[in-house]
Amino acid sequence: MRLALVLGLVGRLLRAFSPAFLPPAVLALVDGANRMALEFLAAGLAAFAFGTLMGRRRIKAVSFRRSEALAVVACTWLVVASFAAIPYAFVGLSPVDALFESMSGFTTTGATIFTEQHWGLDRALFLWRAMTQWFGGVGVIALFIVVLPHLGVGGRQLFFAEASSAPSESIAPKIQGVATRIWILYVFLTVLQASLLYLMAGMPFFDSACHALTTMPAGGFSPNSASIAGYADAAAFPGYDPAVGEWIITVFMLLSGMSFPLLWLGFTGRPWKVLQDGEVRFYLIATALGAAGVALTLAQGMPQMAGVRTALFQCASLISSTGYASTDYNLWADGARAMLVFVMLVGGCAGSAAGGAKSIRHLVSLKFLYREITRVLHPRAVIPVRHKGAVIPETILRAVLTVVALYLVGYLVFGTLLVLLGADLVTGFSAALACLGNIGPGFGPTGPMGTFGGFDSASKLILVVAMWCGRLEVVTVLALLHPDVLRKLRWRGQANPL
Amino acid sequence: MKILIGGEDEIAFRLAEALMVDHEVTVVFPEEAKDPKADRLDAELVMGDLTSAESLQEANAARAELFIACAAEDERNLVACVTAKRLGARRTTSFLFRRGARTSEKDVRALGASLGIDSLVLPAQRLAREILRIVAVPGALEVEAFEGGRVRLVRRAIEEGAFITSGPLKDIGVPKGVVLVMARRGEETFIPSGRAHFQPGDQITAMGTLAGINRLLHRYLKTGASSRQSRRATVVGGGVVGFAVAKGLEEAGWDLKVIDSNRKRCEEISAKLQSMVLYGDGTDLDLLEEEHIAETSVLVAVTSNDEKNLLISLIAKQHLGVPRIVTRADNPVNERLFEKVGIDVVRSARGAAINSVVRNVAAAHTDLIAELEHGDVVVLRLEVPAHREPKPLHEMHAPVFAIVGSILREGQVIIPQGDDEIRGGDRLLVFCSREDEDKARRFFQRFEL
Repeated sequence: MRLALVLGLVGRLLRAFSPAFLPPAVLALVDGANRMALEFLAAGLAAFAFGTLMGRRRIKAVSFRRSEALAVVACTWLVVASFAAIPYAFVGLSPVDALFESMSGFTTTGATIFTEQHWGLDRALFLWRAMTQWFGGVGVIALFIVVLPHLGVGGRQLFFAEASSAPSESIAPKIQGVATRIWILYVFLTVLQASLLYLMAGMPFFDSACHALTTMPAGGFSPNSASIAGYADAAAFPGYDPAVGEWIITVFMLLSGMSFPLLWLGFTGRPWKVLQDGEVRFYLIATALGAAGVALTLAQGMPQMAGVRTALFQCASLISSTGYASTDYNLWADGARAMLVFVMLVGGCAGSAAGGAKSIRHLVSLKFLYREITRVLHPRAVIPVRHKGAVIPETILRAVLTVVALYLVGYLVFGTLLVLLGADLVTGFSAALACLGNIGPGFGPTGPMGTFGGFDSASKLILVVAMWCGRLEVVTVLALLHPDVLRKLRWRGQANPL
Repeated sequence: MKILIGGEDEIAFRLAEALMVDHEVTVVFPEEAKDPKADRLDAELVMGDLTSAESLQEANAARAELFIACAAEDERNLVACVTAKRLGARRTTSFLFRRGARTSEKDVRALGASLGIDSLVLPAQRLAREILRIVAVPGALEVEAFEGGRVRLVRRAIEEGAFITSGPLKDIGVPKGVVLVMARRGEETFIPSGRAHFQPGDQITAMGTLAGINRLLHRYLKTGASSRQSRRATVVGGGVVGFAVAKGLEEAGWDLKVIDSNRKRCEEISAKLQSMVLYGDGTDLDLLEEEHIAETSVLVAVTSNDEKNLLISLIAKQHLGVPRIVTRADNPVNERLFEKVGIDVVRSARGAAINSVVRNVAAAHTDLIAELEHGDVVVLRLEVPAHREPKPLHEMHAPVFAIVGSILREGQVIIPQGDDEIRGGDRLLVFCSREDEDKARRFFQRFEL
């Protein structure tokens, strides 16, 4: 692996990202927080300078090796999150806390270490928090739809056959076309949700915008310490209608967990394609099952409309890995919370910014398990596993199962580490699930109304690693730790003998 | 007619044998394929490759009225046909052994048209269709369709307890739309009269409309045992024929298991079939018992190896007790032998293809439209001259082994009863023995002997 090449490209990406520090700076100026405006400008300049420095070497048209491409992806998340942590550090967060909040943003997790003292900070900082998720979402969708399928990581080459069905001679225009469409759709949905929340639900404009910025990437940061539940207070937010607001957010959360290439087909006049998709069906059925379980457990009888709304909101929030809360589900009965764990484990669809192992992999794993059970009865049967009618090659099947297994192992390992460092069982394992699955809130003190601020620094660093691994679907990170990669770390490639 | 046959194995010699009686036959074949049979042929032999223009010229392809290419490889046959046509052969026929029943009629015609080949013969497709027709009729041993499917012919064994065994035919009657054209008891065959009283173990052959045949099957031949039979089948051999049969049965809603001994082939067909595909040998008793093959109502053995098919069929029939066995035997000697040892239905891809070619060649001269019982019995399509006076059937006593199975008059199918009459212009499907073929022609067309 040629480190110079990798860092050069990461530097260019960092420099390209640096203008993102400007909008919060402008908002800070408008709000009269001149010091904060300067801080954002300084952070932006630092990112620009470092990016330019790292990327100064001209990258000739070289072909990237697989390990190098994966390293670029992994380093980008680390480096960008580190620079995005600077504004948090300026307002007094410790370096570890700042990195946690920043990584939680870029990985669209939505777990926060903010405590009582931070919620009163300037609006610019909350805009920045929302923006990190929004950009993290764009990045990860591009990663999932373009980069990883191209590299064949985690069986992803299987998932987007219909997105690239347009006949094309070379791959480049196809990728450009797909990326442009996803970008348009992402911006469109964000603007649409912000407008609906502001105009129909009566949420304040700034809060509408922040929520729209964190819903589409399935992020979950809210400028309110009590998440969506915080707006139910009629005295503080007189114009807000909780029912309308929650239904709007529920719909957009469900959309954010669906495959964007598929949503593009749906929005360009083929809505039935979305509902015909096996993965979307699996995802929606899992949501409905979870919500039904929650509503029935809580109501202990036929649930009322409000109960259904809350149950559906919470399940949509956790299955899509967004992580908003319209109520403190920490206080729910254990049965209802078990349903929430179920939807957290399922996760969103493969072409979205949702975290976890993704619905499609669970669906394929279930088909695989069914086949293996059939094989117990018919040991000599040759049974293919199909997806959309086509047979899944065994190599892809293995890759898919590997990712599911790695997530499960990851939940165990990270959860155990947290418990060993002093967390109680429920808190430790739910925090591991919430961070590795890029969901956000867990149970116990890390619940939707709580904070991750109570952990010690070591635990917080472990969770930062968990968020980072989870975002890169674990295999990517582990592949970079493979001896074959580590042994061949070089600053530059071998000199060309000719 | 001058016929040139290009081939490289025994099918070429079998074709020559079948055609040499009425035609002037030349066979082009490679020296190493020389068969002891070749010397007994009344045909000119040219050593050489069928795709070589030189050999074809030597065999005088330019003067051939028909060129038939029957090598094992499809592409060689196509090339040979195109070459022969260029050299001046009037008509060309190519065998395509590797194409299955999934190749559409239209596709085949388009291929033939684009290469300028007059007819393409797909033995696997023919065999698969034939097997599917037989399997579809419960208990049938043989099923044929005529006149675009409007007239059917079914041969079936009579089981213990069937209604038809309850008395002589004149007492129990025969369902509307059906004529019982032939019966068989042991080695003896006869045309059933009113006095005939059937016993279990007899075989009857009936001709009629689809509805008539169904009435016969359900009212006269159904027994408790046959109605309990499930629609579960086993296909052993997943080659071109096996896959085509499996696909057809699957589309007809059968519950199916396919067994093949080639791992790669298993994966290929399992991708295209919904049914369970088993990797293993069809003669492996453990596998057959483990998969409850004994519970299937039909077993179709269509591997490319006759001996293996026989062994599988015997295991299934005698050890497992599968009620119906359909077996493929490509060697014509095996065909009769297999039936002797108790296999119900024996069919051959090559046999079916050779018959169809011979029939096509003869089509200009003959009215023979089907051969049954391995050629001992034939079905003739005869036109009654337009000027003939109408005559009721019961007044016509055919002095020979022949019976009218159906009458086509002005596009209508009539399944004749004794009162129906034959008129001028009718087209008759006549069922008769091979020896009496000519007499039957004279009798039904000229009403004389």
